[in-house]
Amino acid sequence: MSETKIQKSQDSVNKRRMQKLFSNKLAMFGLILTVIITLLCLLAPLLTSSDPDFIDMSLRYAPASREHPFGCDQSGRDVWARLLYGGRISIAIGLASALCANVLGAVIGCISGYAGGKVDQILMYCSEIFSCFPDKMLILIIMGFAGQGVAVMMLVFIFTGWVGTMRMVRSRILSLKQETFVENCRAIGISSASIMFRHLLPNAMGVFIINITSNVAGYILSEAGLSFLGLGVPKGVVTWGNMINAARNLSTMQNYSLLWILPGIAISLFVLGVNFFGDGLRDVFDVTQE
Amino acid sequence: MDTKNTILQIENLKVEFRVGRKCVHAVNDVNLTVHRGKTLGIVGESGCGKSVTAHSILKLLPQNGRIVNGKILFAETDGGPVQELQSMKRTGKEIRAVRGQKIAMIFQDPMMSLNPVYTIGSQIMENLKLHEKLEEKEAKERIIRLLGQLGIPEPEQRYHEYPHQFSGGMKQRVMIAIAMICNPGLLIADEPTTALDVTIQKQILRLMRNLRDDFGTSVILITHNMGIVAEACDEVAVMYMGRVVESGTVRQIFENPQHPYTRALLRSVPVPGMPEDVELQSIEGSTPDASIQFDHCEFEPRCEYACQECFKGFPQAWECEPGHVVRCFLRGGEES
Amino acid sequence: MLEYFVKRFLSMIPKLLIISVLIYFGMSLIPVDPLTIMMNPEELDGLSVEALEELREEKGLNDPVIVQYARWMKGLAQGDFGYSLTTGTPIKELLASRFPATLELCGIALTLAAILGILLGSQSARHKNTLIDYGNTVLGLIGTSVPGFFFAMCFIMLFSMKLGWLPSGGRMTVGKTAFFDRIEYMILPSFCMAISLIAYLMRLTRNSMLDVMNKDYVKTARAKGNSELSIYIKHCFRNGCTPVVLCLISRISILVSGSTIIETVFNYPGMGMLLVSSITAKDMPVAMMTMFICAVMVLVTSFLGDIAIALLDPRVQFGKEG
Repeated sequence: MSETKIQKSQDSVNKRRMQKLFSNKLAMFGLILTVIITLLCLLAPLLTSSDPDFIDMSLRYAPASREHPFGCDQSGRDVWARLLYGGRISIAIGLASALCANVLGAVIGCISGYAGGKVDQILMYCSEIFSCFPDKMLILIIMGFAGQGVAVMMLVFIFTGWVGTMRMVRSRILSLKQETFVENCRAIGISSASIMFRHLLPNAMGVFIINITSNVAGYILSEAGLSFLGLGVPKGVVTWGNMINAARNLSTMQNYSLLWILPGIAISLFVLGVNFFGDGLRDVFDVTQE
Repeated sequence: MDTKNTILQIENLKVEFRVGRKCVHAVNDVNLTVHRGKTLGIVGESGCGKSVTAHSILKLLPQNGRIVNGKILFAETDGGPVQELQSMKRTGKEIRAVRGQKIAMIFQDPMMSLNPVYTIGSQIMENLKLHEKLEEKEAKERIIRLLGQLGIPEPEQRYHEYPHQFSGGMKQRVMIAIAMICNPGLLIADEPTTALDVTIQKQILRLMRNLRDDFGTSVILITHNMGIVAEACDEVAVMYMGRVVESGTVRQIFENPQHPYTRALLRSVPVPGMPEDVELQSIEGSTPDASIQFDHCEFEPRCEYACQECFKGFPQAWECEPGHVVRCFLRGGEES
Repeated sequence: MLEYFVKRFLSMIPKLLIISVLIYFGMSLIPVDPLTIMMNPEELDGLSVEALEELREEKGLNDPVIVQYARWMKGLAQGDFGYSLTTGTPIKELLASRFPATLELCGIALTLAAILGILLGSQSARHKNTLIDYGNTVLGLIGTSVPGFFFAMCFIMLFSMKLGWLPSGGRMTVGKTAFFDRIEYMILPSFCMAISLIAYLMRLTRNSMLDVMNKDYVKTARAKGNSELSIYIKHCFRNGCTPVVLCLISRISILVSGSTIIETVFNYPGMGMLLVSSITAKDMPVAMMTMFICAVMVLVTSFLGDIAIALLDPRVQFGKEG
């Protein structure tokens, strides 16, 4: 009975949170911005007939025209098509790595917090060692060893990204563990795994969701940064970061500024949308930034 | 204003709070008089406006609160100038010269009222230095002497310690030391014992009584506990929903309570010397939402004696015996 | 208090060992003959296979791993970081020439970020929920959302190419090495590095100050007759600054590594660019050593951070000692 009661009060809390979120103009603006850009990228085949990888040397640095609304780049590829298709990969990398890293972090954090004792100490020590290596450097080094590739990059993001979520989930679990309902669960004979993942973890949802949004933003920025340095995804794969990298030399930068300004704006707008939304979420869940 | 006997006089004080688009009248038409060297107790349930009244004396209301009407007259010395506190600017020089020096204040929770990063010595010193020009050494000696007087053991050593090294009762003593270091004429204590253990409460109350006797400080003691009033006060004002419903000396109020609310309050608290067979009673109902605007006596919904007349308007203050004022239609109060 | 610091200092040692083991392991993964990393390439030129084998024995490369690791650590302690694969210069020299440049840049960026971030954050806190506050919040979010290199490129475009006010890259004009001559080279990169930190600090300051401003002891301070300014500085800021200071200290190390992109854009010869160029050239020993230095920096700054907290908040040391 108390279970349903808790469920009910949880429902009403969620309802209030949703209302608060929907009344936050900035957050809604962010959400709409994010959704629009994502949709544009997903619907790329409908919005452009050009192939983003089709090289046509006769169209090098072609100015904007009916066929190519934003012109063509140094290899005569359509910029508009590259923006849309590039966004797909950039967003996919950000979203997928953020999800995986957070799931990994939440699971480890949950185990660490619930088990306590030696397990907790060892896992915490691991996370401390991990955080000694600045993530960007670690990513660079690993990419240096493993070579470039979309999958490698995502793996590296996940490998380095779980620490923050792990710590936050762990501390949330530690405080939840004190509450009586955990004792109740144990008394009725619910297994530890079930207590951890079905009863405790949902309560750390706020931390989880907020970390996902901030990680999506962070990973898209990292992908762009790495690709910009020429160390991210391989040159052949079109992403926003790679588009800017291709336009990096001073003469292109000055003479064909559209080539790097457009993907730059795309990244900025998308990340801005995610951050606006995440900020609203943070208000709603009342998680203070560390 | 009679500066010989009166140190502080509040006339028709009205305080408003803006909460979103709503306007809450926290204090309405409050009249209070604090006599020199006496302790005035303000009693009432939480949210009745007693704290707001106290805070408005020193203009310490939160940003969204303001005094709309009324006067707060303060005369530090007999025959000295009378200051109108209500017209001073919230952060101005004038009110700052009053704060801490002439009128001091201590707060409910001593755990939260001391800054954790400074030693208690430096926190007392801060108040002293703001208002008096003294040599460092002389000031320190004075502080240590006061700490000793207030019953803090080994004051020289504790002078250099931080708040978290003190117990709750000791912290409240430190708060009193901060308040008393400049020998203020008036001390406002906002529920000074609420956050403390019962045994410590006794000690703090005794201490405050000694202050009144030894230093001649007038005190406003805010509390929700009638027992504390009986123990520590000379005069009482009972507040309900932002109004003073009854005021008088402790003897008058305890022996001859007139307002139904005062009676109910007294029935709900054990008072020293009350007959053993009397059962304690609670007051029916609960305090209405402060944002509701009443057009008649606020106590009517909970009053066991409510009659037709009570719906007509607000009762006027009526002096039923010298110094004993009550606001109730049943006790001669007229419509205002 | 001293006891706490010593304890905290000693706790760094096992971590340092683990980090060095990880780095050593990473070095051993590099698919080249270890001799080329350990020796000056000029000495290896023209040596026969037998001579190389002899050298290998001499350098102890046939010893057990533990012994080799110990020898490697000893070398590190004496400043022997090995040799670059591509140029053959000792890594020590490379780091020695790059580290000060980065430190200089980070120093300016941190100072800039601290001043602007704290000022804007305090302003937001004082005028909570007003237009100023919302404006700052939105600006802050923009600052964290726009990639640093995009800002950098826009600034180069505007200030170097269009207006010609500031140089687009490099560290100094040939022949002019004085600090003041170098400043114009550092304005743009340090500002680009500072932007996201400004945004972050602003938010941190705002939240921390708002938290403190509602505390009872601020009311006590006001009841003493303090002026608003002195309440703000002596009580609000003094109490609210702990997370801000902590963040600033921890950022020293992160900025050193986070400057990779900005340094590359501005062609600024610091640690970040060293890392990028060594990875691009597959010069892994240099990259590993750069990372080692940074990891040590993180350790040291987190130690400094703990000391700073203990100094700023008297409750900390007592809590931990007791």
